[in-house]
Amino acid sequence: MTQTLVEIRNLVRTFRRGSNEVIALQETDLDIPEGDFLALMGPSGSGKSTLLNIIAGIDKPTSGTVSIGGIEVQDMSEDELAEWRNQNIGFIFQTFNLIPVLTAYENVELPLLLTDLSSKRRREHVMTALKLVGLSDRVQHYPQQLSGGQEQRVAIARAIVTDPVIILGDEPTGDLDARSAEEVLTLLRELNEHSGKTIVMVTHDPRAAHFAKHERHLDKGFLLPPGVKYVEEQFA
Amino acid sequence: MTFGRFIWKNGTRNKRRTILTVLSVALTLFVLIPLVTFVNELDRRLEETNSARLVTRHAVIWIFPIPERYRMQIEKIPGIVANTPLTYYGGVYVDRAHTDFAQYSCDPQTLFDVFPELKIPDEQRQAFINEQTAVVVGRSKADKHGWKIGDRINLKGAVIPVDLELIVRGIFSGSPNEESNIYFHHTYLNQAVEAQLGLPGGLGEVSTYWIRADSPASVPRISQAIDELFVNTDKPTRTETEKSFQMSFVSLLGNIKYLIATISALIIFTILLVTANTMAMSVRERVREIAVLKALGFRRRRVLMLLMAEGVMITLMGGLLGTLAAHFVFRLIDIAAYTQGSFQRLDVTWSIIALGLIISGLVGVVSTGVPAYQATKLTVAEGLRNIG
Repeated sequence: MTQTLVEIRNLVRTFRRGSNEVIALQETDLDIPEGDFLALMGPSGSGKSTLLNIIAGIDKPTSGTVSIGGIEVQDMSEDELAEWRNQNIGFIFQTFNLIPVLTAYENVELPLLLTDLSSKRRREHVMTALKLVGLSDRVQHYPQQLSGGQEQRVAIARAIVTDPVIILGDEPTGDLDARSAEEVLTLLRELNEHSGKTIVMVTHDPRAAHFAKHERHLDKGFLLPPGVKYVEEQFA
Repeated sequence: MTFGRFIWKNGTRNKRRTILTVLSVALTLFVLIPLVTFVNELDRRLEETNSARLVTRHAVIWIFPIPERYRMQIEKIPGIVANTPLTYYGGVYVDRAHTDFAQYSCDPQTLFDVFPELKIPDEQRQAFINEQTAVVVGRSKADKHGWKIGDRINLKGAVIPVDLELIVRGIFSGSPNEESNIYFHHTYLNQAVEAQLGLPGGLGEVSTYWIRADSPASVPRISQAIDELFVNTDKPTRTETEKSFQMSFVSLLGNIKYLIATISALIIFTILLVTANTMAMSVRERVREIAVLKALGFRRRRVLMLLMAEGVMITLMGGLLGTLAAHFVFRLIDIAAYTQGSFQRLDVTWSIIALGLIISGLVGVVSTGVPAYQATKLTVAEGLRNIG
């Protein structure tokens, strides 16, 4: 029986913009089972990235609870969250966010510097991750020597190198051409199907969402019920 | 990869900026170090003084002479072990550039009793006493000018306008400052004055009397007794410890230490502003990367330390370059020739190098601290929104 990995209850996130309070997410409940590949979709400002950031522990809810792997993260301190993220979260950004002065190998190794692993064991982990994303022949390349698709694959290797319980992608194909996007999405699907990784991906591209097992849509801060899609507003 | 390599790679990512920052810190330290060394040299001179040694001079200022006849009265005071007059001759050897030593007339019988730290073989000391035109020279000056026993040293009078022809009869060892002096007979100076200037009996005056007391405890009593002897004369004296006498030279330069401290503080403040601006620029460009590091699990304090380590690394490189350059450059420069013997050396010691490195390290901490603190204070989400 599949267990629930992410359990979100009554989640609200508001921001203060000047004297106004903007509600980014309202009264959200969400369960994500272990091994799922979920696509969060919605227009700009719908709250999908906010929800993803809260799951990743890089943003905090205004109220409500977020439980990941049975651990409630909403009340953790900044330092506790940092350590927790290192051990449990693999994050893939839209703009890759590799460190330009580090090689592909070093970029992937970066999160492992915070662990107790020896350099030999780190090397094994890094090479496994790079092999998994098909870049074992690019270890000494710097980000500027790689294509966009390759950069994102390095970012994926960095996200999986610590063997996290969940991989989160914020528009991971947003900056890629169609072919590279498909390569990256295929890779994510393989990680989900063959390695059993739970993946939550934010996207507004329906073609990207097709690679996921499930879709959930958000609109104006509301998480729509399963199967309900947001309606894109058209200019008159 | 280690954290050290990570710091190095980040610190040198913009090579031109890093090199320019390193060079500006290096240049600052290169300017700062001589000032510190100068103060250090003044302090060292005071440390070398003997607490049982006194100097009697004119009460107004040491450049006014006092009569030779005072000596007999002074030596009647109990507790005095030895006494020698020292008169500054101030002549020129070959030319100004070669005159990197001070010349004094003295009493050869008592000179080495007053200055027991000067070491000279007994036979040379006796030869110096026996011959009126004899001169004893410091070891370092003998080595530098190639003087050997029996060599002639001709001095052209400048302060006292008589020329002297001296023969080296002894070479003594002592501290670098002490070895920068040469000593000859006061009676020979008087004879030269009488012969060349037509003054019967010669100068009849000396610059100072240098006195060694039997113990430091006797110094205040002897000092008071000497000055009381001449208080109602037209040439009253002031007798003080050697240290106090040396300090009066320093005070002639005004509050030099305060002045140097102020200049040093301004120099450090200037480089702090320059470095802070550079580091702020470097950190500002990487707000997004800082957020990524935090997203990967780096704690805020660790990111802060990594950024500050970069700043410290850059300023330490500059500090090391500047202090070592000063160290080697001052070894090559003949300070004695430039200062005509006033300063025999400006030693950039290892403790001064360490001080330079501490200053440059602190510049790194302070200049990087503020921008790094501000950048790491942003939340991950805020940092990721930043367009660097």
